Amino acid sequence: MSQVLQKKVCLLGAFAVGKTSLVSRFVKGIFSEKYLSTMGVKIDRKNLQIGDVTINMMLWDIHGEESNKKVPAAYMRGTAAYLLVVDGTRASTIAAARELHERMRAEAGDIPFVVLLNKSDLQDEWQLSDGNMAAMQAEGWECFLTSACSGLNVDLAFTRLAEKLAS
Amino acid sequence: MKETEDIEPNRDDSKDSDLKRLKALLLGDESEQLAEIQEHLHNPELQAADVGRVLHRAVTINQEHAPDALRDVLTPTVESALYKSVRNSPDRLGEALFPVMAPAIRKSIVSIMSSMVQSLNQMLEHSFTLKGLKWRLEALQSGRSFAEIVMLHTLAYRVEQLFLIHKESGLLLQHVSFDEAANKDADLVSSMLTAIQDFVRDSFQVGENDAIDKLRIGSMEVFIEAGSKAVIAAVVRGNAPADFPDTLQQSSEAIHKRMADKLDAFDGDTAPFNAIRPELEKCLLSKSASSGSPSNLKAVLALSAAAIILIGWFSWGAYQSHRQSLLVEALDAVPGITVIRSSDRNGALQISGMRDPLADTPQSVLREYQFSDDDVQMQWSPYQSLEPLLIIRRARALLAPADQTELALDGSELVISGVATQVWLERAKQLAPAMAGITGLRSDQLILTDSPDYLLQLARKQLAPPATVQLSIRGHSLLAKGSAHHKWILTATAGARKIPGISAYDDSGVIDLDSDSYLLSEARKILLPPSTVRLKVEQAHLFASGRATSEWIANARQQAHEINGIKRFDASKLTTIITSPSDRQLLAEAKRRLAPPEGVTLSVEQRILSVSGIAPSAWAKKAIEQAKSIKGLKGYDQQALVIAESALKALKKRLNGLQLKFRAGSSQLESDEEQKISQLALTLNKQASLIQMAQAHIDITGYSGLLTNRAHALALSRAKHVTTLLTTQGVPSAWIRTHGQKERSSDWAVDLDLKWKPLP
Ligand SMILES: Nc1nc2c(ncn2[C@@H]2O[C@H](COP(=O)(O)OP(=O)(O)OP(=O)(O)O)[C@@H](O)[C@H]2O)c(=O)[nH]1
Ligand SMILES: [Mg+2]
Repeated sequence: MSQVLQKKVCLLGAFAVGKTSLVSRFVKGIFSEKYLSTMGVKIDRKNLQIGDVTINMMLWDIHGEESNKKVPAAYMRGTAAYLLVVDGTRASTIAAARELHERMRAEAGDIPFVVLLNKSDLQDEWQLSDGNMAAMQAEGWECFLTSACSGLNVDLAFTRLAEKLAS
Repeated sequence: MKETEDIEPNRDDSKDSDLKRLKALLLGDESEQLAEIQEHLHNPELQAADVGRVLHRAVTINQEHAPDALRDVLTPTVESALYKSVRNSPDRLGEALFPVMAPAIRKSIVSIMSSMVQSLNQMLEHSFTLKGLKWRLEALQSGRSFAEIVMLHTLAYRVEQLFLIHKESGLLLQHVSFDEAANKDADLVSSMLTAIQDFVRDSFQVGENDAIDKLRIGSMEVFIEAGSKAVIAAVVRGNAPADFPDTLQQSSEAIHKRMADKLDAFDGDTAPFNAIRPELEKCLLSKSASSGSPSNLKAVLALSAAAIILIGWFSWGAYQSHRQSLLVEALDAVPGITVIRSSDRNGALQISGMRDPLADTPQSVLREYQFSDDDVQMQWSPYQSLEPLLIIRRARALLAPADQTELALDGSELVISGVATQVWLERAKQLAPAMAGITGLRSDQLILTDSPDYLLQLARKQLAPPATVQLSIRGHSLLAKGSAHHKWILTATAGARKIPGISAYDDSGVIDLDSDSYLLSEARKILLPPSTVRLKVEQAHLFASGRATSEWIANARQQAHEINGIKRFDASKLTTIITSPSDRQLLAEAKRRLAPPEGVTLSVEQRILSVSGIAPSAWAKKAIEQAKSIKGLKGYDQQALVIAESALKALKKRLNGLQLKFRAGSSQLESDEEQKISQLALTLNKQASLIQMAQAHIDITGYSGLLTNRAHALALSRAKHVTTLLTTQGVPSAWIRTHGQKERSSDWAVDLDLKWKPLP
């Protein structure tokens, strides 16, 4: 019998970057144009088989970070891994991601994470410069160009995170 | 401004006084006005006043002609002004904005909470298994709410699911549910509960250890017992018992103790926690409802009426208006009260409606919801409510039933049960149809207190008679018969007086088991005293006097204590009598003591010892002494006893006195002398036993009176002749010793003598 490991995984990022959409795409395979801002936390679950270990990801889709609505530290406690989500059409969301990343490290230590540069289907409105990308790469961030709308790289990014958890 | 400068050339001409005059002539007052206008144009104070007068009009007109223009122009100024104001004194603006902000913040917290709780609710509700599904279908079909159906079906309460949650990560360690079927969303619930806890802790800035301990979600309650490492959450439908949190706490402590290492080292592997399932299962309690009482249901529904109530931490304002609506709902729910209108006027709640005078006072509801009379203004117009509770109340007011008479309503029929009197029932039957809402009356469940059976039953219950007492009813009086302890008799007398419907009590047929006379008869029966003993009982003390054998006394002492009710037995006035032993016993005793020699016969008749036969005098003397010491012997009779010594002496005398005459020189007896010998032989034979006993012997000595050789022979033959004569008459020869003597001292020729050894 293979081992089952339950893990708390958080999605962090500025508001409206597509956290909820990414979870919905990854877990249920659906996408909606409608924007319903997340209040508090929404929890979902997805099992991923990595080798002979089943990772049962408890996905904490936390409300977007805003200057007056910070993500509480309490949500970060006990996290095993996290996804930082950046909206490619709003360069300012990188700063929010960076701040959350720092807070997460302070709270949970050096745990696995991946960075999702989302809304990659909106090429016309794309704002991230090569400079931005290079800076993130330089920080050692493992980045994925994703789209909750088309589904691009969504499974890949989550699976990568699961692999990090299993190892 | 530019326009005013254009008028300036007028001033240049002012020096010309003629022109001035002309102007005065031509224009008159207008020149003054002009001066005034000029004054206006040059005085900023006045200008400001002028602009002030028209500014609002100007703004309005501007808004009509060029909407937004003014706003756009003003925005930067206003913004920087506000910025500066906030910088300088944030409090002022804060205060000013507070009425706007507070509700907004409240709203946002409440809406965040409800959105999170709603998603939790879905997880919990969805997880319901087959039975849940069935109820859901039923709810759909019947058009009732699911919660209502569940409560109808089941339970006072039931712990449906238990979650053991890793506190830090919110991960599910273990889950148990009442019908075994695992909740596939249990892990989601676990995380969601944790998230809610986190949210609350964050929103209200409470301490790390303060947490929600109860959530109400729809018709469910989630009890949360947070330990240091793990949290137990219990989903309960219905009203859990008050000590349920304690049960959870105990489980939590047990689990923490047992799994301390595992909890510390938890990395997502829940397998080790399978071991504590039994501990959790212990908390899966439930209790069946007593056929879903409607009031209970109503309470539950009222509680769940507000979609979600999060206990203990509502923000104040929302709480306040929520409280008001709860109050109105609660008032409306009071039977006999109908709220028609409610409004909030300047902070005071105004409620108007109708109220049946028999309905509960609204004040009690106010108090229950913690409103004071000043908080609420109420106006009630009176009406007669047809709600069952009010109909019953009206009936109760009119019929004035006794405490044990119960009134209930079945449709429009008044159902009377419990107990009542015939008279009361008759009256009720007359009055009932006249009451609003009541069309009929049923009393088949009613027990009439004046029926003998009822009275008897009541009396039995109240008096609790012992098995030895029989109660019966005659008319309105209660009869008691049998026997009972004094204590019962007393309490029964008092108790009987208190039984409604019983007018007299007759216990003359009850024997007081503790009364002296009863005790005396009981003592007589058990102790069976002899006629010489008198028994007496005084205040449960048993006295015995007179004479009795020691055996009876000992026996009585023992048995007296076994008589119920006898407290003491006083035997000090009893004298012991020795029982006369039986004749046989006496005889045996006499034989033992007297040791009668052979030839003595003892006999006892009517306790008189008779001694017969022959005995030595020494024995006879001793025997008298001994006989005296035999207890129970009444008399001693020695008349039939022959004292050996005196008999022997008499015999000796007889023998000594016998003179036998022989013919001279011959051994032949004179005639008629043989007669004497025959008589002697007779006497001797008679005394055979005496002689034998005394081992006596008869010495027969013959004399001759001759002086020759033959003298001795003659003497001897004479003696022998007598001997022969005796033996032929039956006297044993062994008794006789024959002697011959030459001479003699006396006259006759033969001497007889009796000799014996001293008797023992
Ligand atoms: N075109 C496109 N739109 C996206 C994508 N991801 C999200 N959106 C849209 O972006 C909006 C916000 O998406 P959400 O998923 O609700 O964003 P969020 O990060 O959960 O927002 P908060 O919960 O408020 O923090 C929605 O209208 C989505 O339809 C994407 O990959 N492509
Ligand atoms: Mg969201």
